[in-house]
Order: sequence, then structure tokens, then C-alpha cells
Amino acid sequence: MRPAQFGTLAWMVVASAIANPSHAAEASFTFKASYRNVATDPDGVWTGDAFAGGPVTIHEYQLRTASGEFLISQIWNDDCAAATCPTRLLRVEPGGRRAVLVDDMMRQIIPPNDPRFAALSATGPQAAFARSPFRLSDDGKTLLNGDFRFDLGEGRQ
Amino acid sequence: MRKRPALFGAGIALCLSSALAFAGESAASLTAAGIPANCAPFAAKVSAAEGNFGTTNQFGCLGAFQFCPGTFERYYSGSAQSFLNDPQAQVAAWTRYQQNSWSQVQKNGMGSLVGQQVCSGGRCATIDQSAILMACQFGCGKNGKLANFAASGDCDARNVKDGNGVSVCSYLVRGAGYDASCFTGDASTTCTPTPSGPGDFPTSIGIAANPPSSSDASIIVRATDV
Repeated sequence: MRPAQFGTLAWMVVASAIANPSHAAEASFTFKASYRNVATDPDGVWTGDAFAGGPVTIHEYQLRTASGEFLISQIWNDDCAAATCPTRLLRVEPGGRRAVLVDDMMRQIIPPNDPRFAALSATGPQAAFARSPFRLSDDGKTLLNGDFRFDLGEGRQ
Repeated sequence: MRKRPALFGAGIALCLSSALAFAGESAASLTAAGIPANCAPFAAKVSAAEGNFGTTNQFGCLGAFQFCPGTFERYYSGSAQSFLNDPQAQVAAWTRYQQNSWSQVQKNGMGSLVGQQVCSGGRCATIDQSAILMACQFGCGKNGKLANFAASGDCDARNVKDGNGVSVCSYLVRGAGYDASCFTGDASTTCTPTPSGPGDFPTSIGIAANPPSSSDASIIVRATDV
């Protein structure tokens, strides 16, 4: 191999390793539903004060793995910051019982069903985040949201 | 379980590297777009960490203040592209966002933080209105990071940090010392030191914006002297 070829190959390997050290085995959540302009949460993840500012929008994502089923619910309400909104990760048990594993401010998703963001979610670097705003690490212990990371807790009902 | 290819991020990394090159809009350009001059330094400080009028980041956040989709939806009714093309609309939306944030601060009792000392990353500051508004980038809700800090006073607690482990206190320190009265409606609480001698003009607000009068100056350099 010539030095120039070796250099190009080495650059590609290093660049991909730096850019994406752990994506290979992550599980991506898929879009489930959006509830726009609602005064209550049809799935009951959010209650009470979450609706104090008036009607809200809720986006849900889901993931089914061998170890169980997970639901993510993000609420767009008064408590949102410019880039983040209150978001919960729940484990859904076979009997339907749910436990909150993470409750934190997470990056706002790019709505897959909003025509104003159609261009963003179709092309460019935003497309990857639009497709997979939430991922679960291979060991199932960390929720990944863009550049954010959240350790999964023991869960509360 | 859907797997992602290992080489997937190479392109993203290149795009991220360009996204990280944001310099933000200057106080002058923000003033031209409608921010009052006295609050333009604060707006420029926020924009410096966010983007330019035409910027879209990798998370779909738009413009000089990086309105992400949920915030964008709330504060602007047109398309993403029309928002990117309209600095005046961005400034108007951000002004309303800041005003609403300050209302949240007051409603949730976080205004009591004003006057307290906060230290982060080896730097300390006195919390003022601009510090709080800067920290509202972590959310001003009653269960947000700033509220958690107001309750505990602990800059290192997990519940005052974002998903990157950045403490809300770093934003309190970063935002302190600016005039944010355009958004809070109150007279500025910024403590601007009064110059009393050579070298006393504060660098934080820019000497060009606050030139000493010739009677205050020890050395006067005229154009003909240069």
C-alpha cells in the first residue's frame, strides 16, 4: 500500500471511530404518536401541573427489546427550555404496569409529522436525529438523546 | 432491534464540525434586527453560544438563538426557511421567549436568586436578571434545573446538570453582568463599576460602548497622533 493510500484509509478509520464510537449496537426508539393541543395525556404519563399553562403537545416513541418494552413521552409545555423539554422514559411491564426510569429535560424531537420540518427531517445532518432522537445503549443502562446521556434508574411507579 | 452502521457518523461528524464553528450574531446586527441597544450585548452573548440568523444545527434548531422545534412551533407560525430568512422575526420571537421566561422565573420563585453568589468552573459571579435568563436555557419550569439549584444551592448535584453534565451554574456565571431590562421590565440590576481612574473602565461591557469623557482620561490619543 502506498503512503497516500494508507493515509487515506487511516483517516477514514480514525474519523469513523471518533465520530461514532458506540452506535453500532444501539437500539433506536421508533415514533409512536403525537397528541397535539391536548389538555390531558391520553396515555397518562403526564398529569396535573404539566398542563397548568394550557393545552400542550406530547410526542411518544417506543422500543421493544428482548428485555422488555419501553415508552418515551416528551411534553411540549411551559416548562420547556429553548432546546429541551420535559421527557420521561418508562419501562412497560407485560401486565401494563409502568415504571419511570428517567425523568429529565431532553432535546426536543423533530416532529416526523409536521410539514414545516419536512425538509429538515428528510436531508442533512438533522435527518439522523429526526429518525432516531432516542437510543438505548447496548447494555441497556443508558438513554442517548443526541449528545445527551441519561443513566437509567431503578424505576418508580 | 434496529442496528446502526459504524460508519454512519462520519458524515455527521463533518457536519458537526461546521456546526461548531458558529460565532453568533454581533450586538450591532441584533440591534439592526430590533433588539434595543442596551440589551444587545446580552443578546449577542446568548447568540454567540447558539448560531447565526441562517443557522440550522444538527438537532433542527433554527437561527441566531437556536429555536428548536417545540419552541419554534410556539413562537413562530411560518415555515422554518422563512424564519431563517427573517432576522426581525427571530428577534421578535426571542424577545417574547425571554419575557415569558422571566414570567416563569417570577411565578416559580426563582427571582430570589438575584444577589446570591454562584461559582462554577473557577469563576464566581453575583446572580442578576441576565444571569437567570441565561440559565433559563436549562428551563425555568418549577421542576427544571434552575429550580433545582434554587432549592438546593448545589452546583454539582446531578439534577442541576444537563445531559452533557453541564451545570446550570456555569450559565448563571456566563450570563451575569448584562442589561436584560428589555425582557424583565425592571431597571437594570447590573452592577456597572464607576470609573475612577485610568484602567478602571470595565472590559466586560466594552470600552467602545462606554468611552470615558476627555476630562476623565489621563492620556488622550488624537487621530493625528496615530
